[in-house]
Amino acid sequence: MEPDTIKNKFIRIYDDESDSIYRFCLLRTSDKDVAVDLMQDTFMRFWDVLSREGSGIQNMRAFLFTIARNSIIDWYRKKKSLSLDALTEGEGGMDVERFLDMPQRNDLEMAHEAKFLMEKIREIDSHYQQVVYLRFVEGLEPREIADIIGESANVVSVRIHRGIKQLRKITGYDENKV
Amino acid sequence: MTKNNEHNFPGEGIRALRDVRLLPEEKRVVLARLLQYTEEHPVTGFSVWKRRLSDLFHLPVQPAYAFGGIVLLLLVTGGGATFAAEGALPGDLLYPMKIYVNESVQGVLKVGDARKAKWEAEKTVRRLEEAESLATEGRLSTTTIEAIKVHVEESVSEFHVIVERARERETSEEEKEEIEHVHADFDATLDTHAQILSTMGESAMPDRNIEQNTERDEEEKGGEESSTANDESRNETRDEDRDEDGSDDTDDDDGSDRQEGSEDREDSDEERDNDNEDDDEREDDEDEDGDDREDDDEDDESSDRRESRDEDRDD
Repeated sequence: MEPDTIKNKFIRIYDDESDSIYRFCLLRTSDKDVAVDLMQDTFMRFWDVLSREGSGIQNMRAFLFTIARNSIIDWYRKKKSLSLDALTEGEGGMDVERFLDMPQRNDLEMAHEAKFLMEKIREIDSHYQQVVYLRFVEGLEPREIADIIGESANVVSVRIHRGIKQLRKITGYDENKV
Repeated sequence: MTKNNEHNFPGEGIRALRDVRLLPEEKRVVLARLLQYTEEHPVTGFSVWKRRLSDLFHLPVQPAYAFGGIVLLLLVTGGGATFAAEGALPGDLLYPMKIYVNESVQGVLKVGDARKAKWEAEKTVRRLEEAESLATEGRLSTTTIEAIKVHVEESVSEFHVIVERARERETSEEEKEEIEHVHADFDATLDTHAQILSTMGESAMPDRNIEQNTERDEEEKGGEESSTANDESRNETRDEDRDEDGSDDTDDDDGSDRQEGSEDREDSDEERDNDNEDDDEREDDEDEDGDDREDDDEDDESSDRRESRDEDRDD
């Protein structure tokens, strides 16, 4: 594949998926600025692979979520040992500043239902959160989710099932009292 | 949507959640940064091993050519070098041969996604085992760690690409199962090695490393033999101090020594090289002005030195 077409492909994928990845990061970090950073990070890593493998990657979407998930895990690890240096140093720091200068979006920009649901998803057991989110919000297949979180499709299906039960209970949608 | 209804899930919330998006401004800014990034990291096209292999044989990589290459190589070296290279560790002369020749060649010979994935997994494990061997020998330095990291990352990402591809492809259930097996195995192996490496990292490794580097530095110094001998023996003394620190804290005689020892131990990887230089400098200073900073444990040795200096003066 020609370099130019690879770049076009990359831009197209960014257009299509950047919102999903941002959302996923937002769910996991609860911080808009961090979510934007992690989304950017995800696409950089994605470019690293894409530029080397060309058309080698088959399921771009699942692959992107895999990278995003790893970026988030890295972020959590770093956060533990976060120092002031890390905030100000390097290019990352510049970004943070740039986004801080922008007018802060207030909570109203996220529709009430969305906010409610995101909070509720965060309330269910941690290993159900991602699968439920990826399945119902991003519409990924259990098999794809299995790839992303490194579990078998069976395990994922079970978690989706249990997670959704829990979520329904929390949100008050549980009418059957399972 | 039907699936959501099926589960009686709060569909409205989901729709609203899907509407959570980046601001157009954010999306634009990040894209600009990404495009800059793509300029700085241009497309390389071939996957890494293919490129390396084609560099090696100056031929377009195809299994047939590579096979010719193997035969040629075996003819030229009688196979001896390739065998010898198998045991090489990073930093050894034959190491590049091991990873770029032996392993590339073995990689070409793997047919089928499962085998290819397995091979990438094996390469990762080989790198990790090398790191472990180096650590046991006390030869693990920051540069070798970096090099090994790069190789591991390569293999791991290649592994995932292969697995990804295999899952997407319309293959038989058996093949799919095999791939999943390989994947699970790989994860388990990685965990084990991560544990081994972290245990090593916590225990002996840094100290051994300091000793090793210092000894090497001293070997390079060569010329001033008497002082080198002193340095070495003093190093030994210090090591003993360290051991005592670990087990017996009631011994108060070597107060200052203990501080020195623990400083050494707290040094992080990056600082280690610098610190060795500092150590050497400090020791050189001591040699020159005969400053008696040593305590009881080293007194014998420093009195030796004083004696030898007296002898010099007598001469």
